[in-house]
Amino acid sequence: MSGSHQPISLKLVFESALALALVLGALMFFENVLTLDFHRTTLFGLGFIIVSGLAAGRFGSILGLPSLTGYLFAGLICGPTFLHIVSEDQVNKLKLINGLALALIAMQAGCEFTKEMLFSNFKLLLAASVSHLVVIGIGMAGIFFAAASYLPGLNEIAAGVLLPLAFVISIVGVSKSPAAVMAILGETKIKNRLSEHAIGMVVFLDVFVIIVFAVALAYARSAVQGLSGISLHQMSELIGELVASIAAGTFFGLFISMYFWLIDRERTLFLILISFGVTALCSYLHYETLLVFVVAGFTVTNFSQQAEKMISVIESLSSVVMIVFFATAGASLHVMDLIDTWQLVAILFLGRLGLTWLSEKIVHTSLNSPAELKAYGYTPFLSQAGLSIGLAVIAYDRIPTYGSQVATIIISVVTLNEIFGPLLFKWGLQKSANLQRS
Amino acid sequence: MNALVILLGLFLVSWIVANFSFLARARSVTYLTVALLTGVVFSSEGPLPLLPSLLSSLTIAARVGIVWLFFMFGNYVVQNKLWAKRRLLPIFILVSVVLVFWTYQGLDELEMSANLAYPLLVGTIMALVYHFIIPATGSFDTPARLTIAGLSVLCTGWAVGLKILEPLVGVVFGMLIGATRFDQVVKDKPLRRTERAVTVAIALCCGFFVSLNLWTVAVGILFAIFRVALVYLEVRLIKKNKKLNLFLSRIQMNPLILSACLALQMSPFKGESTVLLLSSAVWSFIASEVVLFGLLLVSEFPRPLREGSKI
Repeated sequence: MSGSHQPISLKLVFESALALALVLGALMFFENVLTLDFHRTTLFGLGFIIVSGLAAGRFGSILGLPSLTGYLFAGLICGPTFLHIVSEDQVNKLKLINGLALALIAMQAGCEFTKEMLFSNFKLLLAASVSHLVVIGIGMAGIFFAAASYLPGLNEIAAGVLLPLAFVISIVGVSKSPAAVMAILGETKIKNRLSEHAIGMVVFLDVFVIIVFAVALAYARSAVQGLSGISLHQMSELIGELVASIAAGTFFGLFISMYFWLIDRERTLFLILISFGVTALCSYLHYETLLVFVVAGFTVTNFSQQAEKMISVIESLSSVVMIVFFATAGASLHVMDLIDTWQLVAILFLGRLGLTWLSEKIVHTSLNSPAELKAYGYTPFLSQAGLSIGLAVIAYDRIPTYGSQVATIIISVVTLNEIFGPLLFKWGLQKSANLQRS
Repeated sequence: MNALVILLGLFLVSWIVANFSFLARARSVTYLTVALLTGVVFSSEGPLPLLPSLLSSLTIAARVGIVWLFFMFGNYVVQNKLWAKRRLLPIFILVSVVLVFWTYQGLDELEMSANLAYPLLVGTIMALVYHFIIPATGSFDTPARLTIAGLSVLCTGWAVGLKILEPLVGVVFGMLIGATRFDQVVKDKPLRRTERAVTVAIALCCGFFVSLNLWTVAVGILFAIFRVALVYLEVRLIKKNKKLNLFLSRIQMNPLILSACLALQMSPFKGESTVLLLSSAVWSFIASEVVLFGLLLVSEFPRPLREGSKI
């Protein structure tokens, strides 16, 4: 995701920084030296975010950090909190790209989810997923609920509203990062029980997360709007939407397969059109967009032979779309709001790490898994990235009044998980490989 | 989201219709006419007018497209492609039109020179950014291509922010890249293929601004007929060429004219005169296509053109 699949060298990082400095210098020259009335449009913001994201991503790679972290920081620095190069209004307009980015993330996750993987490890996957959902889901909600009562700003929220918000945050806490896991496995080239478990879980669990998140979001929305929980009618509507989403996902998956099989021209353009079109349709019909795309990806992988073509297009497109997506997410961060809640973010981060360890420990002890899973099984699951930020963005858009606060807390925790997660997984993989050898 | 979805939907319709093998083979009522007419349907005077707010959202994409087309064109010009030389004409027309407009708008010499200097400055800055961001390898991968598209977006942002014309910035940027990175862009097939899709989108947007005023339509048609007659005279009398293909291939107007007129219509200099210019160009383009279609009907429709056919 560096803008080009070139190896990242120090020279390239230096040159990217130079490019960024050049654009910034030119902007200052026009505005301050020539005193021109330069109108910073959304287009300028988008272009600037791409250049700064590329530079920061390359810099992150040199430091051994994921590129995504660089993109987030680039957005944060350029955004309304610090440099004001991209304004709040422009950030909101740039969220148009989110539809495409979320579609790509969800389709890629669906593509990784094969029938073989599902059948061979079904017992372990199911047990671990339930364990994560219960332990992390309830644990994180409890931590948030308890800690929020002591924090200014959050302690004024009524308990009836705080609890559903806590569930939204906790469900996002359960989500993992297929992208980060795949990137570390690609980098280390280690294949063992831990790597198999990691791949299976990140995809299998994320499907559950998307479904449970839809329920938690509906609960939070009704609580904030002053309604008493979710009625039976609302629940049946929600289930209807989920079933319809799965049906729509299957249809679009088959449609994509047919296109790649029969026409197979302008693949990139086709996938962009499908992503935006289906996202708009889902928004109109109240379908779960992420679920539709995950199912579409699953259908292409498991019921056709077109998955390779689709994955290659998604990976190519992702390189630039993700820069904009993550940088926009970074620019949306209201860091100043965090000054009051940094303790909460730290508690949630440490709490999630502890709960992840606990949920894996319970599963592997009860199923008597191999030693490497018992010892390091939790290490792949600290990472969070695209899907978690996507869910935060959805929460921002859909939860009235508190959406921004919830999204800021989630993205802050995700940022920490994104920085430390890949490092932990890399360490765990190497340790498990050593343990297997010994 | 709606604006983008509508643009993509309209683009898809134009694209599908434009790629009908029947139309493509006849080389007559081409994909651009289909896109132009689709746009006219949604123009303010058309049967299904778009809301002004929606229209302004849609034109953002068109501005990026204009920079992209002129960036590619700048590359071709420097690479000294023969057919690119023929395409130089729109640049001269564009510069002349811009100068006339500036004079008409009463800009003083300082403002005029600034309006010519800024595109040069921005184009040079963007060329330097390109050099720093895109490694000098023999070929591009998709991420690199998308990054170049991102740089075009930044280029458009500069042009809109400084209120200068996008084609000028795009062409300077393209010429500098063409001169320093040689034929890296020109040789890249996927990049070249984007031109067709972008031209369709531009034609679609041109249609949105077209006036259906009878006088404007008449001016466009008369210009097309006059131009076809001139082309005929040039081929028959000056070049003494009796081949059908040469004449027919010169009937279609250069699509870059549409981009240049659209850029003027979206610039700070927009007004009644720019609408007249754009509308005349669009009707002229359509009329040229209809003339071409008629000539093909008379000659050998619906088969593809053969080498050596006589007029």
